[in-house]
Amino acid sequence: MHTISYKLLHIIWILTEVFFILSILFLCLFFILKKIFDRKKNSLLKKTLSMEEIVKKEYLSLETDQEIITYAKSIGNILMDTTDFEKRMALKKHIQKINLYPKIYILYTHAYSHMMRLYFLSLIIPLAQAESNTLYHHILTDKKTKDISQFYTLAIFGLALSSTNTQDITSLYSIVEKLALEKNITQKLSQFFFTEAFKSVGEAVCILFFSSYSLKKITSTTNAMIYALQNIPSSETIENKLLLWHQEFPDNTMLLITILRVLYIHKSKHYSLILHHHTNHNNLIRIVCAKIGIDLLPREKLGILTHYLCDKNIHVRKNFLLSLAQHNISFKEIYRQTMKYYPNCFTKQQSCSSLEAYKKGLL
Amino acid sequence: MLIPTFILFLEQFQYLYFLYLIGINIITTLMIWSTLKQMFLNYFFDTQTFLYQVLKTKAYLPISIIAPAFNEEETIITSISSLLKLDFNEYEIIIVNDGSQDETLHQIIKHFNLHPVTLPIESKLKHKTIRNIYRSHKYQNLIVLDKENGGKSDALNAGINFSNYPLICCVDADTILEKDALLQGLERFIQDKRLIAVGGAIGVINGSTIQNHRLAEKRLSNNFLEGFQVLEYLRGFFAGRVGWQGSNGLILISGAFGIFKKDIILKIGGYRHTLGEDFDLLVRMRRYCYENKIDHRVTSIAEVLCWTQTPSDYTSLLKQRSRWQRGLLETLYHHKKLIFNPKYGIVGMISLPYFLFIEALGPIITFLGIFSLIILYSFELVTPYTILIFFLLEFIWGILLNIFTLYLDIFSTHPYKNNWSYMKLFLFSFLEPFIYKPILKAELFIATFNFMNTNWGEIKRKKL
Repeated sequence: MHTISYKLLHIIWILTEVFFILSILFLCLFFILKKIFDRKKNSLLKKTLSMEEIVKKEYLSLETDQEIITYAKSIGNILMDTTDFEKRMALKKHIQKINLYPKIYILYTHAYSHMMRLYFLSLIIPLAQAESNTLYHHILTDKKTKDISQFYTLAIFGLALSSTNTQDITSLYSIVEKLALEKNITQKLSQFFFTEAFKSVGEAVCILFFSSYSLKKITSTTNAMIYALQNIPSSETIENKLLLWHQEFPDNTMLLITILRVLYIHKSKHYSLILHHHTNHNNLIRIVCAKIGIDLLPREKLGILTHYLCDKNIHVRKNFLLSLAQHNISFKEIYRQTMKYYPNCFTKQQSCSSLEAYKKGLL
Repeated sequence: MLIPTFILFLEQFQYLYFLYLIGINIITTLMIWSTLKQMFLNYFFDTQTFLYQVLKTKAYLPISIIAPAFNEEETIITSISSLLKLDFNEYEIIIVNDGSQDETLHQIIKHFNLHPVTLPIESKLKHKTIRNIYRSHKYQNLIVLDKENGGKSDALNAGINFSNYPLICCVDADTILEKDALLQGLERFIQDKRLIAVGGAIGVINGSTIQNHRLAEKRLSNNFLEGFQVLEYLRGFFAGRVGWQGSNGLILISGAFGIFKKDIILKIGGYRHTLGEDFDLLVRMRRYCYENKIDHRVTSIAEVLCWTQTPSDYTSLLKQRSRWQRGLLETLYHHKKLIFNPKYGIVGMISLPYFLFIEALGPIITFLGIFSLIILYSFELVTPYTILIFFLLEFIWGILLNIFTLYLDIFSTHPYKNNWSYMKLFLFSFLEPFIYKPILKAELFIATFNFMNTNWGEIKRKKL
C-alpha cells in the first residue's frame, strides 16, 4: 500500500531538512562573503595613480598592502601603454630601485586562494621584471597551477614581457611550443606572446636573435614567431632571412603565407615572391597574393594580377576587388591593364561581370 | 481488473517521478556549485587588460556577425546600432532580411543610408534567392542581404555564405550585445584551438531603459511573466550551460548569441531547417567532430554578453516554449543514433540522455507524477507524509535553486544596479515554482504530443 517505504521517506525527510537548513546558512554566508569581496574588490581595482603621483616621494615608502597594490597597478598600466623602448627601460629600472616586485611577490605567496593569487599575478606581470621569471617557471610546473588556463596563459605572458635577451626568446619559444602541444594554445596566442617578447627585448636584440636563428622545422609556433615579426620595424636582415627561409622550405604553404604577410606589413620592396606565386594552384596563396599584391608590386606591374578578376575562387576575386577599391585604382586603369596583360584571358561575360561588380559595388 | 492494474501502474510510476525529481535537483545543484567554482577564480582577475593587449597586437581572429531578421521593425535599428558600437577591431555585420512583410528593410535602408551593390556570394550552403545586397557608405562593415523568406536557418545559411571571416557570431535581430561580447568570445577561441563554439549568458532586456541605442539602465520589469523569465534564464545559464562545460558536455548554445568556427559549420552543411536550429547545429557540429575523430571543446561564458527581449504575454510565451519543445524533440529524434552510443563520448552517453529524460520527457513525467499522487491520495493509497516529500522535492528545492542562481548572478555580472530589482527577483523565486512552472510544464506536455507541428508561431515584440 505504501508505495515508498517509510524508512526511505524518513531518510529523505532528514536529508531535505539538513539540506534546507544548510542552504539557508549558506545563503547568509554567501551574502556576507559577497559584501566582503565587494569591499575588497572596490578598494583593489578602482584606485590608480597618474604618472605624476607615481613619482611623488611619499609613495616610495610602500609600507601598507594597499599602497603596494595601488602603486603596482598604476605603474603596470603605464608600462603596458608605453611603446617607447627607452621609456619602458627607465620605468623598469625605477621598479627595481623601489623594490616593488619582492613586495608584491610576498603578497602573492601569502594569498589564501587561487582567486587572490591570480589577482596578484596580474599585478606582477606588467612590471616586466626579469627576477619574476622564476615565479612563472614555477607556475608552469607546479601541479596546482599548471593545468589552470588563466595561470599558464598569464605565466607565459609574464615571461614574454620580462624577456631581455636572445636566450629569453629561445626559452620562450620552447615553452610556447610545449604548451601548444599539451594545452592546445592557438597560433594567434603564441603570436601574441612573441609580439610582446619582441617589444620587450627591442629591435636590436630581435635582429640579433633572428640573424643567428636557423629554421629546422615548420610548426604553428615557428609560424607564430615569424608572424610576430610584423610588429618590429622592417630591416634588410629580417627580410633577407625571410626570403632565405622560403628557399629552405619552398613547399610549405603556411610559411609562404606568413612571409608574404610580414613583407606586406613591412612595406617591403621584395616582390619576387608575388611574381613567383601569383598563379599558385593553392587557393590560400592566391587569396593572400590578391589581398596584398597591389601593395608589394610596383604600379606598372599591377596588370599581372588582373587575372584574379576571373579567378575560379570567389575569395580571390573578392579580396582583389577590395584591394583595388582600397587603393582607389580607377575602373579605367584596371580595364587598360587587363587588356594589356591578358587581352584574351577573359571571356566577355567573365570580365564584364567581375569589372561591373567592382564598379557597382566598390567604387 | 483494469482499475487495479492502473492503480498498480500509478504506484510504480511514483518511483520514476521520485527518481526524476531527485535526479534533476541534484544535477542542478551540482551544476550551480561547478559554476560557482569557475566564477570565484575570475572574481578579481581583470581579463580586459589582457584582451585589449591582444587586440593591440592584432593577434586576434576577425568575426562575422550574422543577424537574421523577420518582421523586426520594432527592434532592428536599435539592434544594428548596438552592433556597430562593439569593442572589436575587425568585424563585419551581416543583416539578413528574411523576406519581412513589415517595414524592416525600409527602415534599415533609410536609417543607415544604404545603397544597393552587386557583390559575389559563395554558394557553399543552400538558401533561398537573394534579391538585393545593400551597403552603407558610412558604416563600411555593415552589409544587408535581402532574400526571399525561407526561415531562420535559411537566412543564417545565406549570411554564412556571404561572410568573410573564420569565426561566425550568430545573433537574433532583437538582441543588444554587451560592448565586450566579441572580445570575451575571442579570448576563449585564442586560448584553445580545439574550441568549436562559445556561448554566453543571455539577459532579459524587458524593463530596461535604452538611450542612444544602448542599454542605459538595466532594470527588472514590473510584469510578473517577464520577471519569472529572468529567473528561468539565470537558472538555464548558471545552473546549466556553464556547469555542462566543465565536463565538455555542452550541446546547446542559445540562438540569441553564439560564436562558432566557420569551417566546421561549412563541413556539416550549415543550419538544418528545424524548429530548434541552435540545438541542432551544435549537436551536428559535435557529431561531425566525433565521427571524424576531431578533439574539440565547447564552452559557455558565465557572464551576460547579450540582452534579448522575452515574450511579455502568455500567448507569445507559450508559442515560443511550444516551439522550443517541438524543436528539442525533433533534434533528439534526428540524432537518436547518438543516444547511449559510446562512440559519441559524453554527448552520447550523458548530454543527450539528459536532454531526453530530463528536458524532453520531463513534462510527461511531472504531469503523470502529480496525476498519480492525486489519484492515489484520493484512494488513500498514499499518506500526506509522502505528498509532503514530493512537495518538498518539486517546489521547495526549486525555490532554493532559484535563490542560488540569483546569488550567482549578483556575484558575477550583477547587472541590475538598483536593489529593488533584486528584491523583486527574490520574491519571484518563491512564486515561480507555484505559478510559472506549472503553466509552462502544461504547455510543454501538450507540445510533446504535438511535435509533428512545424509552425514557428509569431511572437509580439515591443519597440526598443
